[in-house]
Amino acid sequence: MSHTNDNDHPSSASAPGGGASASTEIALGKGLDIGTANLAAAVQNAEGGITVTVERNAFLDINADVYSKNMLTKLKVPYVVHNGKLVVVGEAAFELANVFGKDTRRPMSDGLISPNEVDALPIMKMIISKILGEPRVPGEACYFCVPAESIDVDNNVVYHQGLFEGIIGKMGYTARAINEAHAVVFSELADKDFTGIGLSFGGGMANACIAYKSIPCVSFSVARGGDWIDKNVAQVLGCKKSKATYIKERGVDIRDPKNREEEAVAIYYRNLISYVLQNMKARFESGTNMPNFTEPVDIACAGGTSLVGGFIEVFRDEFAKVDFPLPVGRIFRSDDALTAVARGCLVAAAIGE
Amino acid sequence: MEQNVKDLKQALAARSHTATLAELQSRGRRSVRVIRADDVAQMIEAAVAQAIAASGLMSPQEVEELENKSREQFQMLLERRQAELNELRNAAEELNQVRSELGRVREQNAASIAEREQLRAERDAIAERLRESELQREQLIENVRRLENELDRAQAETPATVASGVNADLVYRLMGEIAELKAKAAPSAAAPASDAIAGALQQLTSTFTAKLESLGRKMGVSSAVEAEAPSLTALFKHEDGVKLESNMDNLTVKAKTASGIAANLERLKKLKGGS
Repeated sequence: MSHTNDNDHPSSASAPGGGASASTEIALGKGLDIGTANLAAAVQNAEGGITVTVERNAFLDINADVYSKNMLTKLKVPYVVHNGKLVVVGEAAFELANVFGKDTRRPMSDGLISPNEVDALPIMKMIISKILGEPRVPGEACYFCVPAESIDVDNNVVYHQGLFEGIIGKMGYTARAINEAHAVVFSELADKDFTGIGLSFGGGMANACIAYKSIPCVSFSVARGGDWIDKNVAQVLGCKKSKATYIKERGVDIRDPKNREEEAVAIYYRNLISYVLQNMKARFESGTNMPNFTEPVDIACAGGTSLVGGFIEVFRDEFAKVDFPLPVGRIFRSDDALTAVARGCLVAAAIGE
Repeated sequence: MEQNVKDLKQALAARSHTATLAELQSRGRRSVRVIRADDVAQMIEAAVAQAIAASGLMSPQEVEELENKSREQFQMLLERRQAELNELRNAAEELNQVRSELGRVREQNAASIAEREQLRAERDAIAERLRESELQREQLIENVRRLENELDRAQAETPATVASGVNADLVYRLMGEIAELKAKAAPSAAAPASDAIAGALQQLTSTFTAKLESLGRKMGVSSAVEAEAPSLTALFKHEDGVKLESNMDNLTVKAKTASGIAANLERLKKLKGGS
């Protein structure tokens, strides 16, 4: 299990410089990535870098008895007692689900809070509280990501945003929402003056944002992501979704699948990437609010779903098949794709975007 | 002998010209006499040898020396002649190059003239469009004044006439006309107006929109304003603060460090004109 008994959230707004400069002042503000699959919080640390805490956004309920509770405590497995059930949360829930051949329960689906998991809200609130920590000053800014409206399904982002504004606000923060792919632009396209295309391949959605000098021009999402791959892989292999997730995350290279299971993962990955690119092309071709770029723009990919081996190579393959309506320069994946959105939210929080 | 024949052939080639059979025919020649170069050389050598021997002036050795000297002289003359020919050929090639360069420059000049003419035509067309835009602007200003007067009158009459619905018709008519004006005032991609004209049109459109909204809200007929997205934060402020039993307070999630965001912030500040 990945948890320890330490708690070292920064509590000071300024600190002596380490890696940055001797007079580095830590800007207030925190970034929070509320993803379907993972929750990640980013904060500037005293060394001039940033600290990111990540937890899987999942839980698993088991029968509440004294023996189980003691066992979980000894194993340092985080749990919550809710409605008479013992609820294991985070990465531990995912691991236990695989051991018992069950599926985890997920508070969110398709990038938004799941209407089927209303009971999960208090648990999710606890996870967020844990990774975010206390505000360093009352009303410290916390920028959290929200998906853009989907172009392929009808969803309600307003409810989702309002709910998390409420939850984060009750923790003592001043909550501000920022588009998920816009956050990718903030974290990955600084050297291009925040001009280009940010893509976030998450668990529930793929979000896209085209920005010009940090200003988002077009943002949208499609309701397909890592979960969509898991669901389809589970269907064709006849296994649980948790198992499909495990296969996907154990180190597959989608350019070179080694067996039937990996072939299934590779097939659906390629299909997802193609689907996202086709929708981007269609949306950008529609021309509404589209800036005119005289020079090629970069495409930055991020998000947990982009972590699979060979992702960016397959993305480039599929991109070459699409007659893209914009001149595109470099296509790359973030060096730290899982935390890119949280880091982008932190940039926005620090600058007060 | 062999060398003599070769020299003779070169000399004959240098001093003769080639005529085609057709040319010869055209000159009335139906047949020509042919003699081999070897025979000519033999004849010349024999004649020269006989003449020298008959003169008794030179010994055979002197004859040979003279022969060699003559050959060298001949060879020298031949080479000089060949060099002159080469120079002539080079000069002809240079002349051809200069002629082709001249042709290219002439073509470029013609293209530049055509381009200049095209630019002049475009400039004239733009000037014409600007004149048209100016006329259109004046016409729009006139229309705006007329409509503003009508709006002022309608606003003055509103309280008394809403019930009868008379002024609602007027407002709808005005809305239609304003929409039409706005469409006309919108800058066209095919005929771009100058910035000043576009600015003036935009200002007129804004004034109109504001007046329409003001009147529309007063009469309860406005539907042009998009409502802001509702804030739902109040929905969640009544949640109970009951603390669930958990061991999470004693645990911390895994944390990792990443590179700083100072460069991003610096860049963003510069972009926004900050320090």
